[in-house]
Amino acid sequence: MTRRTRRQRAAQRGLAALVFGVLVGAGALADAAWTSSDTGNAYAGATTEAAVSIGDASASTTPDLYPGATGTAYIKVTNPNPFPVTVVSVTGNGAITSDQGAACDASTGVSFTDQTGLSGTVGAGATTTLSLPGAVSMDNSSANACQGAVFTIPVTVGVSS
Amino acid sequence: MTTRSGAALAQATSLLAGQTPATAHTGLTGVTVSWPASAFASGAAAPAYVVTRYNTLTGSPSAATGTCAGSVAATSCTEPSVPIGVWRYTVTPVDGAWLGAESPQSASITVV
Repeated sequence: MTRRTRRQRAAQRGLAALVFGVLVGAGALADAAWTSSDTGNAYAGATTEAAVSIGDASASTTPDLYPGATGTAYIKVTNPNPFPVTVVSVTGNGAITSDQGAACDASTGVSFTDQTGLSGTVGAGATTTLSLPGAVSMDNSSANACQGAVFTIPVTVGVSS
Repeated sequence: MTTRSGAALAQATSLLAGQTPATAHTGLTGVTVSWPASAFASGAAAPAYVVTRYNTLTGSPSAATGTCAGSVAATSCTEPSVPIGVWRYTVTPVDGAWLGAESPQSASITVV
């Protein structure tokens, strides 16, 4: 049987107190983190948020572009979450193409202006087509084959929940 | 904020056809051509037109002259010195590289 000295017993009691304190502290932190996710502002910290998806908005487009004009871009957003989300930005991220093939794609004349400061709300479990008036423009380099074309504009969509 | 990649869509309109022009004599050999405005399918007005003169005997087209030369940003123009012959005119809406359909030919006009 081991016989501990007074100094060893004191050290053992100190270590036990330290471990207890760390465990209690960690628990408090974990509880605080859970509370933040669960009740935070508009689910901002929820780790279970599902990603929104960007769909085909072709059913909603309006033919308003022509050389020298600005027009409206449309983006279809599906929010699978049980809470609303807000589209706050849409920025172009690639070459613009058309449904008219190479004859138009060689010179669409179309450019996209990055959109920031948006507040497009997509409801819980909803699909919404957002319109962005003035976001696209067409210059005189647009090929004749682009008349009536639908243009696909690669974008990155910023979403806030 | 999270980000997702996808595609936005936009759509172009189209230029409608030109409308049949009218002609009138101006001076001894001049011809004034006028026509109703054309538009895009979206409703916006066509910004300009190309005027073409056709020889009624040969059917050959000729580029118009005077204020009818090139791209005309109006709905009337004048050729001050048209060669002797019998002519018909057409107008074609244009915007940059875009072309509308050419109008039907005008009634013939004789220059002597």
